[in-house]
Amino acid sequence: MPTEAYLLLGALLFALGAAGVVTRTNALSVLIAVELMLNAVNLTFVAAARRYAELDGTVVAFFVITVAAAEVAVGLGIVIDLARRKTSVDVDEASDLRG
Amino acid sequence: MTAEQAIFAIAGPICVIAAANAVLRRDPLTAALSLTVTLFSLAVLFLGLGAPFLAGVQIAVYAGAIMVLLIFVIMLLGVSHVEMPRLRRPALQLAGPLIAVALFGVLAAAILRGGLPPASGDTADGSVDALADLLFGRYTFAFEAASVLLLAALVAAVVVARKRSTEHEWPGRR
Repeated sequence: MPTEAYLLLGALLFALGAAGVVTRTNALSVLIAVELMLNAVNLTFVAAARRYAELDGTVVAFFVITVAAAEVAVGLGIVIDLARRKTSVDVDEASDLRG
Repeated sequence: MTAEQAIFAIAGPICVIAAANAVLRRDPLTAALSLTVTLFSLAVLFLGLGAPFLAGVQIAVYAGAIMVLLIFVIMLLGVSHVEMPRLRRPALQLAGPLIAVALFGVLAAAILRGGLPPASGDTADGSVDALADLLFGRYTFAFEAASVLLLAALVAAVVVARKRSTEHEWPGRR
């Protein structure tokens, strides 16, 4: 398969994830959409690694997975705290800092 | 049709459909399970791209650990937290698909215009050996930094999610 096919697939997944981040109001759904965007980027990294016969892209994908794990741990902690303070995990409700 | 093309033809559409389902569903549990399907099909795509170890990590860490944590929290908070149809700001509901189409249009145009440097003819050695050489050679510092990041995230998650100390936990203060 040409690398472009993988890049297009990655772009499609990234666009879907971005739409989810904007549209969804449930904090958990927003987190899921962010995960989707991270994975879209991972796919392009691995596709580039294959195209240029360099493993660096694969290594970067590893680090993305590591950062995603850290992000989910902190994100879910925030969501749990949000559920404790508010009645729901709706991100629209978490607007206390709005000026 | 090579094996890689067959993998792409099967896993690619599954990946996109599951991703669309994950984004479009209001129910976070359904979205999480759809995302798991996406992650598995991405792991299959990684196999096709000659990165078998990354495919394994994707399944074990991403589809395994991270998604279990996510679904655990969804169940903990109760599946009743299905988001309500948004009534107040219909403009944002319109912005979602608009952003998706615009973003994909720009990216697709950039990709299809070419501009990718020509591929190198040889294939990379995708074995765990070569990967470890790189990870513990050129990327040693990043590897160590990642361990510090994970520790920091661990501490942060505990601090953020623990119960706030309320009045009755401090009997001395009234």
